[in-house]
Amino acid sequence: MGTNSQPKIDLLQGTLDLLILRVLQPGPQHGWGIAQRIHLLSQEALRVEEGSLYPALHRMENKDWIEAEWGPSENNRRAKFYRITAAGRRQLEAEREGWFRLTEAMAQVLNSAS
Amino acid sequence: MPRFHRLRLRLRALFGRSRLDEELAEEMRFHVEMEIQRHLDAGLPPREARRAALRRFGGFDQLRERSRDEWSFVALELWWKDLRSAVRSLGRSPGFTAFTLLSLALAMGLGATVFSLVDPILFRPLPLREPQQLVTLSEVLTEVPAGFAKLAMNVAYADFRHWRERNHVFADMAVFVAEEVTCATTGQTEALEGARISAGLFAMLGVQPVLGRDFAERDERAGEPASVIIGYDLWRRGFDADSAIVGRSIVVDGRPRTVIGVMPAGFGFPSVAQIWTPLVVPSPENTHGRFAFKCIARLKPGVTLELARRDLATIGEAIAREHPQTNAHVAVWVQSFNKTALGSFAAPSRTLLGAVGLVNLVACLNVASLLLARGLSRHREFAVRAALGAGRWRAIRQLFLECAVLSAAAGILGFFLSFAGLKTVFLLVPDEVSFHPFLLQFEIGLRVFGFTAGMALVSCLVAGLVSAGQAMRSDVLPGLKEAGSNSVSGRRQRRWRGLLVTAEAAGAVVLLSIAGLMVRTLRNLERVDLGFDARRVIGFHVISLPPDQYGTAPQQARFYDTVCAELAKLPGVRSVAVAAPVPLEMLQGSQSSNQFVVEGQPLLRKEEQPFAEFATVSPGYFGTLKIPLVRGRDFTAADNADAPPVAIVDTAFARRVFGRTNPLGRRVKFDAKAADDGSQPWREIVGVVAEVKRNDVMDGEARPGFFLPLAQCPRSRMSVLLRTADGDLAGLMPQVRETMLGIDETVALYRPFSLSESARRSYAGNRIMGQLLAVFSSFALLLAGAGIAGVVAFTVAQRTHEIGVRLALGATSGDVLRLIVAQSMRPVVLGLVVGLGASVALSRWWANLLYGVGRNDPITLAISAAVLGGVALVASYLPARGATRVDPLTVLRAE
Repeated sequence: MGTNSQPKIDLLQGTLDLLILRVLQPGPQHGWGIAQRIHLLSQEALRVEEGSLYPALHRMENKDWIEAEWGPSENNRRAKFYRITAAGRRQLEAEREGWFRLTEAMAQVLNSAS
Repeated sequence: MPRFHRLRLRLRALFGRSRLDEELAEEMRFHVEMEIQRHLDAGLPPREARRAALRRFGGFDQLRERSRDEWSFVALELWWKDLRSAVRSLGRSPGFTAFTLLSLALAMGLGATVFSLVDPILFRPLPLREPQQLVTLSEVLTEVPAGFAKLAMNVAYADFRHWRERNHVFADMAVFVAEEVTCATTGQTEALEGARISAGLFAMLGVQPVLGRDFAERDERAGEPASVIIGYDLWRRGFDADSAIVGRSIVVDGRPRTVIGVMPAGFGFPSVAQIWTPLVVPSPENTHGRFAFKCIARLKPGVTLELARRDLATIGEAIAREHPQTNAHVAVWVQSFNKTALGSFAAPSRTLLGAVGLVNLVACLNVASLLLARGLSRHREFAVRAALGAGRWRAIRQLFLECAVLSAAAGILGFFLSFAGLKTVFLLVPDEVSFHPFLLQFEIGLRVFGFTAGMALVSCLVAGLVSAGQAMRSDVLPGLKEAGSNSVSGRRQRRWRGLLVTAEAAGAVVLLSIAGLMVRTLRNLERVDLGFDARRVIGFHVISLPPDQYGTAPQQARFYDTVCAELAKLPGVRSVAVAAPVPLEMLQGSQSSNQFVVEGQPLLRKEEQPFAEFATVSPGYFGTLKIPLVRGRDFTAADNADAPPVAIVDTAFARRVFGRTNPLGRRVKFDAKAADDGSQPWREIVGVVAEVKRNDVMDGEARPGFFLPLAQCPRSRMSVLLRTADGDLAGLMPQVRETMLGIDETVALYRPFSLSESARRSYAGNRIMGQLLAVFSSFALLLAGAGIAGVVAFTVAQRTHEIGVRLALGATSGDVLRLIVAQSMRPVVLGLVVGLGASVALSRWWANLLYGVGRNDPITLAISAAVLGGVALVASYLPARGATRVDPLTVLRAE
């Protein structure tokens, strides 16, 4: 569905939350900014659908991992900024670890000789 | 902070929906603008940039929906929505709703009423200090002469003193004896229920006087000024709530006593007693073998009943060694106070509770089966919903909510109904039946509300699970095709409905059979031959005669002669007699069992001598009560204090003591303690009368009895009996009172009675049980009938097509009718069998409440089954007949 023809990587369930938390770690960011950061940090491999992004943000807000506040954007528009909470940081740590264990295990299986 | 944040978010979600939508929209707008800006920056022309941004975005509405779903209030809102739709859906079928609501509310109202009755008996602790530590002690003869029942007796004062000195298990002990007394209150002398109690009884029970002090040990000493404690009600009513009552002197039983205290409002002990005097026993050593008192004790902390029993047994053996004459064959019984005070109520209470539980179960099943039947007609609705993507969970939730709304409303209604219910039950109880107003306080409060809420919850779960279980099985496709009856799920549903009908019928049969047994018990009780004719006999008691004028036996005899003569002159009075005690109208302590010796028979040891029930009667007593004189003669006026001592015995006495030989002319000696000094002369038996029921209608085999003439053995408390033309107690009492005042105005009349009412009162408990159970079972019968009719009606409606085909193929309407009725009766018959089985299995629970009818009486069981079967037959016939009137053409065309 994207305008560019890069190979598309489907996000696993739950990984979007992890990405959002990671992107918010340095500081508050608005929804569009989050999508852009993920796009850039993944070297344009990942593109977050808006249809997934905003429900995810609201879900995470509801879980107290992030909190939202309205503020002026870089181009002086009113925008909703999301900030990671203490609970969110804990969640990030836990998920990051889990993710590495998973990928390592996956790699081991996929790279095994037979 | 985060928690508060989330709360704010949800509150905003609930109340500020449009604002949240706006914020979401603004967030999206910002996002789109940023996207457009990015495309512009990348060099796309404005139009293209805008299109690209929007295309990637998808529909805003869809996003908004998905975003909203993430807010948890959505779930809440769905519940609210479903709740409203449940209420609406119930409102769409007002007949169904009204019937189910009313039947559930009635069932729960009955449940709440019964619970309010049994709660203080079965569950709530007694309103005393640590009531579980209180025990009752009684003595029992271990070796009773042949033909005499072993029975728990009261306690001898001497034994009480030994126990108190030697025991290791009680923190406190007290004795008391209930007795009626006369008391001069403002303006009149009245007879009241009272008690003589040992000091420390009130403290042990944990109740303190509100005015003045409790009895102390010095009140029990013989030389001390006589004291009395009065109850709050007596203080208010009889002494105008005189705040200076403490220290005042009042006249009790003709002697002055100083009031030392007033007990708190509502307190009465035992039962309704309102006036207490200290127990003065001048020479306790002489009271061995005189079992006259009730004894209560408080266990030390940590002492078990078993431990107390062992300790008392050891002490009892020691006393028996020291006083072999009186205590050789006496054992001590220790039981929890709760059990002795309320034990007789426990079994009927449990039966009532169980029965009302069954009523509620039948009501729940009835609602469930009606919901089910209704659910079938809504089958299509649910199938369409499922096809349109509504979750199955949502449909089940909807059904559950309907049950919840019904149950909650019924619970609230039922709770309020129980106020009327309790009042009605009290109307059924005769005033004179004492229900321990202090120990048993019936009230409708939080506990009853909680119980009702519990019933509502259970009914919601039962009805909800059944109908949800049904919905769970319904498949989308057959539902849409409307092929209800021939599909697998249709058959399953029919079996499911059959199960409900079976359970309903079984519950109703159990209730019907208990009610039937109770009704037969009542009929038996009403027909019991008392041995005398209680109809149209009224009377009253004289508790004590003023000691100054009536100190001697001849004085008392003369007084009662005058009473008999004067009362006999009243219009409508056929005959008058005086006696003590009177059958069915025993006063406290007036019953006396006495040992006796027969002249010419081998002398037995004291403890082996048999007992007989003793009564003092005036000439004409047997005639007044129409007790048949079997042999010899009645007492006459000539049998006075100067004449040779005589006695009359009853047939039970004659049979046991003399066998086939003639008792007339034989001489006996009674140890009649109650009479006078106990040194009785030899008495000649001059007559034999038929035996009667003494205590109550349900008395078993009569104990031997003997009668002494009033003039030779007057007693302090006597009862006056009048055989009248019409038995109108209320109509005659004013004249009786007036006559009595004319004879002596200081003599108080106590508790006027009509003997046939006394007979009825002695089974008041059975009658209330019978009436309640009759109500329960008729209600259950009605519910079962309605449930069956409803289920059959819906089944028939579902099978209209099939019936049409059958008719078209040549079946007669009679064939169809038989088919439908037979199929509907199958689960009913199964229910009958299960219900009868359950009745037989459970019948030992109510065996004790029955009289003259076996607990598994086949006739009663057969009638119960037949009644339910008949109702079920009618309930299935009516809707089935409607079905046979369908026109096959119309049905087939509708295809």
